[in-house]
Amino acid sequence: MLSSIKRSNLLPLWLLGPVGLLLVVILIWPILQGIALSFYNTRILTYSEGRFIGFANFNALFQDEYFWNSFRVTAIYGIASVTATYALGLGFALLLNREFAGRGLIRTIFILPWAIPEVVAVLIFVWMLDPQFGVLNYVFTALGLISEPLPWLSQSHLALPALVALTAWQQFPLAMLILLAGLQMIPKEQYEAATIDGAGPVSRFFHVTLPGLRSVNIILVLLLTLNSFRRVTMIYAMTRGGPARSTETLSILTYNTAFEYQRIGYAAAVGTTLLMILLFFSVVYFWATRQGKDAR
Amino acid sequence: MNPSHAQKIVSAFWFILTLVFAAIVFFPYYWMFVSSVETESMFSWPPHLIPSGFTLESYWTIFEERAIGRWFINTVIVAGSTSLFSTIIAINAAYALSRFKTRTTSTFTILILFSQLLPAALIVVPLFVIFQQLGLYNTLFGLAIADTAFILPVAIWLLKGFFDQIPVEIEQQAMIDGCTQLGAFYRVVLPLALPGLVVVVAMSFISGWDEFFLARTLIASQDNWVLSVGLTSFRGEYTLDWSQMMAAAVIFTVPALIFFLFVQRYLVAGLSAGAVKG
Repeated sequence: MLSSIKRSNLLPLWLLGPVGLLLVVILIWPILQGIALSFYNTRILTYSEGRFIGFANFNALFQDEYFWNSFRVTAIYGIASVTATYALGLGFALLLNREFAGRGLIRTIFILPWAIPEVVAVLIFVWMLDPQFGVLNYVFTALGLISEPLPWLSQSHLALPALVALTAWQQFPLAMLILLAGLQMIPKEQYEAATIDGAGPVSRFFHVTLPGLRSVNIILVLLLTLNSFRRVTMIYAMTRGGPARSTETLSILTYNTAFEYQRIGYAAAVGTTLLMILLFFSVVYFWATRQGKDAR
Repeated sequence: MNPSHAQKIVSAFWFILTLVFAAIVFFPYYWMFVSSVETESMFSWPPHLIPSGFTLESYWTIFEERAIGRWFINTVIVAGSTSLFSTIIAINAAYALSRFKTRTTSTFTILILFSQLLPAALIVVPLFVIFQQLGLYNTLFGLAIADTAFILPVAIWLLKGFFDQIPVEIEQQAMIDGCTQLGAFYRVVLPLALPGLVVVVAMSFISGWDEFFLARTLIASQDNWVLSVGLTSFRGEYTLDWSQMMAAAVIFTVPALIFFLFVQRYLVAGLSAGAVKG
């Protein structure tokens, strides 16, 4: 009896051992190192020779115009990409929530952008946005939206909108699927009751659909926000933060400071600040998830 | 016009609108493929929205002139090992989290949720150094291990959901019949969770296949590059042949796409359930 109790206590430890080891070595330990590094002055990647300087990196950081620039870029990119992703997701979810022939196939087409590797999505867009031969410049000029082809990725005020458009195209399927699931949870009776009370389609949308999606909305928007803070692959592959730092989010600033400018301690300070912001949003996220659970 | 007639027109309108949007969403895929098989020069204006001919020349060229074949094999190795490692580790961990409610398991649950939120940009600098010290830097094995750690939290969470749905009584019955606890799990529970296993295998394969940021940082030599890194290296060169670039993009995309289409039904169901139930 005693041995069986012992065994059942040790079994979960055995089963969880490999995960624990991997998460500690590859995620937790580096994060702790990163936080520790933010208090050191060191430029070399083998950072053992660094000098402890307390909060000096953070002091310098908060006076650094490039830091505030990427803070601003992160905020604009976050708000714009979350809004665009959500709007596309909701619009397409409403379209696909109707009954029609071939809905499964069309839904798959709408999910496809999510399946493409991020790097490939970037390459296709760079090609489509090519200043001389890009198909988007052609379509836009043909439609009369722009008067001549634009160099999207080499002009500061065009690169960020292009990046937001790419993000929205690639990420909306996630929003769409979650919203579609949310829409299907709204009882049909509510729509019928609203119709009997004389509500038109617009009124039904604002008084039945949107309130019905409330708990899903909170979680989705927070999830998209967290993702926009952490996103590196897409931005790095598309612009590396340029031109003139116009697309340099905090994530990209962290990476560039470390690997382009070799300022390791300083990069760690940027990363630690980013981590704090993420932690704040995560706490809100968990709290919102918990609230949603309790409400049900 | 009677009401049913009006209704038909309205639903036809929505249907056509849906098709138009689907076409717009699909266009980048179309353009990637068309660009890769176009016979005439890409450097022409206006662009040929419908290809002027069909040729696979770009495909042959990149295999001859670039290390695409090598990078393809590397990518298969990394994605395959990532999928193998994370599936095996996730099976055991998810089982522990699903069946034991102790302080250890609840600590792990929090650890796993937390690790999903960590910014890769902060992790990758110290990880670079740790990998050099462990001799994992610039190795495909090291990259697969790193990819595994990043996908594991999601994989465990997904599998735990599948195990939770299988009643404990089934293993208890098997244990009465003489199985050990693990034996009961492997022989009875695991086969029942097969759809979940398929999702985890495919999802971790796709994520290992697509991974760029870690691959770009943890791999140095061209011989060890994976496709995502090799592909981006085309850019920044003086003469960029977009036709070849898009051919390489197609080669990179197709395997991930096949895996995705294979599991999308399960993936969508799992995602929707997770999002709505919280």
